[in-house]
Amino acid sequence: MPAPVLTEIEEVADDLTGRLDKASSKAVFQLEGASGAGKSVCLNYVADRLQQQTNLKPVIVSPPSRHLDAGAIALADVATGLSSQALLNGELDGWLSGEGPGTWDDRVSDVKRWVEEHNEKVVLLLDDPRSWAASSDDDGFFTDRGFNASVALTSLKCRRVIAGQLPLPHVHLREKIALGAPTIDHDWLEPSDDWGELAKAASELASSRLLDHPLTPLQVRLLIASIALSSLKSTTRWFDAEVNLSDGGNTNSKLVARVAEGVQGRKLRRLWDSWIGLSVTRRPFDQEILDTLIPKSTTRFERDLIRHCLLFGERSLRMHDNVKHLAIRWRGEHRNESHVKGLVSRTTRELFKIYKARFDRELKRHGANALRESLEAYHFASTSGDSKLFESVRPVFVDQLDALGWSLSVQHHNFKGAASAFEQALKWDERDDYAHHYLAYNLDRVGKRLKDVEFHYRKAARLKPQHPWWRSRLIKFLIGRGRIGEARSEWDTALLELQVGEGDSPTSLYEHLHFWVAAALLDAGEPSLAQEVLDEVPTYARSGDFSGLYQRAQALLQVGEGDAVVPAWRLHPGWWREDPERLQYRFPTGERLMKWLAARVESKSKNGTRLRGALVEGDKEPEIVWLTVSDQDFAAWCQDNVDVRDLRVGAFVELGLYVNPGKKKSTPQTVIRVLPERRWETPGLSDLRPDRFLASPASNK
Amino acid sequence: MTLGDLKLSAEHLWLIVFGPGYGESILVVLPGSHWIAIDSLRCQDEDRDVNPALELLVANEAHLSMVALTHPHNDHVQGLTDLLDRRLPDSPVGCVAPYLRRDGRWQIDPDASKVRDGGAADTALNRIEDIWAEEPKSEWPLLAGSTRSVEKAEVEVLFPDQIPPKKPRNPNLLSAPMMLRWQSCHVLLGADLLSTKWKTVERKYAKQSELKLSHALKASHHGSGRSQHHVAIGAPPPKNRVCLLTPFNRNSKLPDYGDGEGMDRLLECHERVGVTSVPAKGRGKESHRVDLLPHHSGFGSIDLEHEDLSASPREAWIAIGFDADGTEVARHSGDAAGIVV
Repeated sequence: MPAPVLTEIEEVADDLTGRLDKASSKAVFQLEGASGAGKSVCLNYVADRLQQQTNLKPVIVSPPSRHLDAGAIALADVATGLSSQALLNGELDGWLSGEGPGTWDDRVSDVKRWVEEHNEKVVLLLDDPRSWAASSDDDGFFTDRGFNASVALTSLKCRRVIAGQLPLPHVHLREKIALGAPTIDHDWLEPSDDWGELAKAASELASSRLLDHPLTPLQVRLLIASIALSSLKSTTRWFDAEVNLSDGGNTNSKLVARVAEGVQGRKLRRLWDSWIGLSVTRRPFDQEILDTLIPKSTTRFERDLIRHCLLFGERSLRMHDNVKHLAIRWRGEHRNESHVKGLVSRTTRELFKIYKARFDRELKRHGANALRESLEAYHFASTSGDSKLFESVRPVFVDQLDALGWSLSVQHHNFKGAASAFEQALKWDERDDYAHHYLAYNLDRVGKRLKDVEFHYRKAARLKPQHPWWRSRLIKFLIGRGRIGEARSEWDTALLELQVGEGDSPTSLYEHLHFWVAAALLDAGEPSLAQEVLDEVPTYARSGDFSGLYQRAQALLQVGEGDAVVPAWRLHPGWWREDPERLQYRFPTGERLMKWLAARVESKSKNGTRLRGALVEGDKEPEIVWLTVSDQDFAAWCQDNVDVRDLRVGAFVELGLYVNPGKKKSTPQTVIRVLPERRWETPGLSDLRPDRFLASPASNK
Repeated sequence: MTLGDLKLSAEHLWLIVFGPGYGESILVVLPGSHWIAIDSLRCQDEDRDVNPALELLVANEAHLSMVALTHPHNDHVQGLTDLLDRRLPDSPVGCVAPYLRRDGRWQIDPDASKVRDGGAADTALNRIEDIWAEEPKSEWPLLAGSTRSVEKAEVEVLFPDQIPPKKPRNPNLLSAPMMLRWQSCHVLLGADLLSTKWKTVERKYAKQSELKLSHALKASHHGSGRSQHHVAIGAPPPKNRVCLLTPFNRNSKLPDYGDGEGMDRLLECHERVGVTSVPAKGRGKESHRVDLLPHHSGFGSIDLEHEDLSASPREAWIAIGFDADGTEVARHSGDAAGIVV
């Protein structure tokens, strides 16, 4: 495979290797550089050099970012690295055999002990530890675990090289080393068999002015793909118009998007499917996995483009995060399409099969990589949602069970299976607040064991009293059970525990606590209480969604008092203050709207349609009036194609009074417009109720 | 008289009916301070939610020995969860079971009032379901013939006699009237049952002849014309039986006053009818209709009227004490209550 010679990075690696060899056993170096500057590559170069040139034992820790189990993988990377350096005497067997399943803290403590026992020899090479806490979980549990792992490992008393940002400014740095954009020797672009069917594109780029720019290897690869998919001319034109190289990661994203458009534009379906399939992988992979994930019918051109432009590395193949994230985003946007579902499901199962077979082999021969393969096998088993798969692999970290529960619940809506996973997690760690909370949530969704639901919601809130989400779900549960009094009491406790009102609480607290509690109260027909909750939210925390809830609370309060006219879809009181929705201000014949009122059909009888309306005079409070309009009048005044007999109670109308100012004796004319019905559309109110409320069995005794 | 001034003699049965014009709630107090609640009302009074039955319970430091929801209409469920929070453990909680089958369709109804009412009704039903699950002894599915006892009193359900496969759209059609018996005193609580269903009671209830002989009647469905059936109210000439009703001052407005309508029928069979607050239709319509035509000239022939008939929930009640023979021994009422003769 064609690969650039990265002279500067090699020089940095050589220098850093020498310094590490001479440094104290607690020295910490930091590698800084923009996206694509080669920080990860440099870590790998340093590892190779340390291994070959010194007695030090390098251990690379490079978990995939944005994954729930990134923290667990980081710990596993350390354990695997130590094991492959023969620094563990069978200690990993306990982890792998599942004897005495441990808590997260147990695992962290094991890793710390192992490293510190060999701290004179071990060099931890930590790849972008801040990104380990970049999980996309809403409630922050996995993010916290990633953060916890990054702080624990960057704090260990051994030689450390940290690529990228520190998770906290808690480490005394020996030195910062900056990596600039590497200078690339363009010899690697010269036509050769290595580029295969991309040789022409590579050659064109080599002689183009595009290379006058300081491009990273990733950018060069993507430009070759772009040229191969279109032409040098159009690529150059696009580059000149769209790319600003000082824009770092954004340039990469634009280039990736251009290549994706080229692939889709040329309808290279197999290439696109391969790209999507490869984005399912998490760790560097080998030729076996590549061959498995690329359809056999893929053309040579497509294979070359995947191999040389979308991937990099020699024995260990990687897809750059920018390339991967575009595919992940696309997968998310098209997740309901059967083709995408099938492709992802097939890929997940294939990857499970490969990693499971490798794990079995490694375990048999007590290989150092057993743990790493096991984590990958478990991950793909979890995401498949297939119990046959995930029951065939033993988890090592309690986090894996939590992630399994998350996947079953969120991705597969298998709430029963998720509850079972969280119950298993609690057998490992009874203080796992996440497992308590989501055991409760998933049992609640299936309407089972409601006593347990409450117990586990309460337990999670006790274990982590400052977690607003744990609090709000408990309160929501009580509201959903109609236990409004207890919900109020829990609400008061939550405010105390979370110290709301004793300072500037973060906006997220109000979003996780107040928003959901208020929404649940509105849903439960308790607008007064909802209003009390919303009144606690300071102005700075009232986002758009809050405003929707606030207006809804006001509207429902006024409806309850029987003195308002509020169509639900308008979502806010006082709609009569706004312009009419359907009445025109002027007719072509000269009549002008003099006054109008918004009204609701309250009842119908032989006397006609009874309306409750709001008359507004200037800025005064509206005057609520009742009107009975005979069927004859209604038919004469209504300008919509609506038969009064079809007008239902609860419908909304606008009544307008028109006069012609040009005529001295103008007779006022009344006009009625019927408002079309729409549904409630307040954000956050669609999924308030667990399923059991919608299919509750009646006991027909 | 205010609720706070209400003194309940310990040796009598007290029937207390609340109804401020929207909402109905009944408390029965038995000797020995055993309290029963049938339905609940809660409404705003000076910007605060007020549940008068709850306030009376709190003032008397009392707890409920029985709670029943006759049907989940909004004017009967508001604040029921508060009353359920004030009941004794394992005490019966009655509800017509099919209402626990819920569909949540109200959640997307374009009518805001339906959304509010649907939420309140579901919340009350959720609470009942929760209690039935947590305290199986409390489960009381309201079906004709089923009874529950509180001390020496017994409450018997008169309707529904069977559970229809489909829930009716109008909850009144499965509303559950009840007969309360304490020694020789009988009180008929008519819920919101309509005449068509009273016919079923007449046909199927073995002791139907005793209904019209009860010592007190809480008239069905706010005195509407279509719910007064002779099996419950009896036949002319009028008798000296206690008859109470709660007006419904919204929408169609009840009781009906026309010839042969609800109030007319009730007065044929009773010397007087106690109303817990002033009914909208009987309040001297002319004095309360404001002629807005000069002011809002142009809306022409529209019959425009103001309607502010709300009474304070703390003033809209009638309490009657009975001895063991069913003789009325005391009568108190709030300032908004009245008598129609």
